[in-house]
Amino acid sequence: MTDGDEFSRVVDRTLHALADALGADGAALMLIDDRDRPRAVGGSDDDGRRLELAQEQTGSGPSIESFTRDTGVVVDDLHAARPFGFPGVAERARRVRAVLSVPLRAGDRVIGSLDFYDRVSHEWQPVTVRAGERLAELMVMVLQGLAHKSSISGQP
Amino acid sequence: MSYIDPEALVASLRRIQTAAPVTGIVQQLERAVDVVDTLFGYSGAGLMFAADGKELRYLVATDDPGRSLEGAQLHLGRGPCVSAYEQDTAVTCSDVRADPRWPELAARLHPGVRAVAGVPVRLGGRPVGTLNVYRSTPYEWDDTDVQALYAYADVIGQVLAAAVAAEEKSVLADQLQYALDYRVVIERAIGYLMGKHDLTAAQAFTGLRKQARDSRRKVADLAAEVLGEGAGDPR
Repeated sequence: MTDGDEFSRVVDRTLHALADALGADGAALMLIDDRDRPRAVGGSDDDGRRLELAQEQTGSGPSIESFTRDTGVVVDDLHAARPFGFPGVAERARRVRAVLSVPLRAGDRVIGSLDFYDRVSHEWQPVTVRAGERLAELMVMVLQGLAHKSSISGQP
Repeated sequence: MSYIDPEALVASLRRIQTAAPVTGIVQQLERAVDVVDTLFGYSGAGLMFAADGKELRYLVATDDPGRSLEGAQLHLGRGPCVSAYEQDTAVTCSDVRADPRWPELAARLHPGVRAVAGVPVRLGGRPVGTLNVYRSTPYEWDDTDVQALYAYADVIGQVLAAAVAAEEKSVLADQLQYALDYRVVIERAIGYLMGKHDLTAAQAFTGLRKQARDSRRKVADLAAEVLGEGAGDPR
């Protein structure tokens, strides 16, 4: 098993656990890679993966806004017209409706964002947004733990 | 089935490598327990750990009552959190002071500990410790509470899994063993400072940690010095 496969398994399980902890239908991850490009790392299910890929491809969406502005972004319905929703993203991730995106910070640097999503539209309560922000700290711990492995420096 | 792109993940981890120095696994677990505690509004939380399959020992507690909860169970070898580890399942208690399963526990507990829940923390599918939370008033834990605790315990398990994936397993085990061993010395030093200077446990620990930082030493080494011992003997 390669590092990438082993690390993917850890991230996959972490996303499932984080979604369960918040009570969301799923969680997904967008990270900034070593060439400073936003990368759709994936999600806890196919909807999460599609949500991230749609944002990577369109260059817009709650994840992108979240790490660009370094703040939490709530979208009650992704399908709503701008500025409330992101119809271009929703078109490629049709089943995703409500999205909470929180930035991931390692030290003083933003490394990406964590999305929680539900398949029904709804308002996000402030207490849930705060919980999502705290849970993002746990995602960062996992990512930093994985990044600690020196051998990944040499991989393509 | 996984929906993760390994190439995108590794390329991003390379950037994270340069972002900030990684703290040790023990500091990460302390932070993780703190997040759990504040997120749900429990009165306190803690983590017990069994390094290398040895006996369960106290690793992290957010406050004095939490320390009493973990200390009392370890002293007696029984309690809700010990049972959670041994039975590899969630164990809840609406009021530990009135629970016939552990009648001897109440006398050793801080009065602020009433409702207790413990869930196993698993690594590789096997329990390696327990995540413990308590409330200062009696409380009937429901399925939603337990499922949320399981989810948090699972996240903590993934923090450990990430460390295992990145470190030599022996290095990780050494870090945890060191923390488990020297926690005893640190606790004794805190007790000594509390008595000598009329401090709370939090004040004593904060002072100890600050002095250790200021003198660029490990807290455990300073604690051993406070007790007039060599740091080579954790007991």
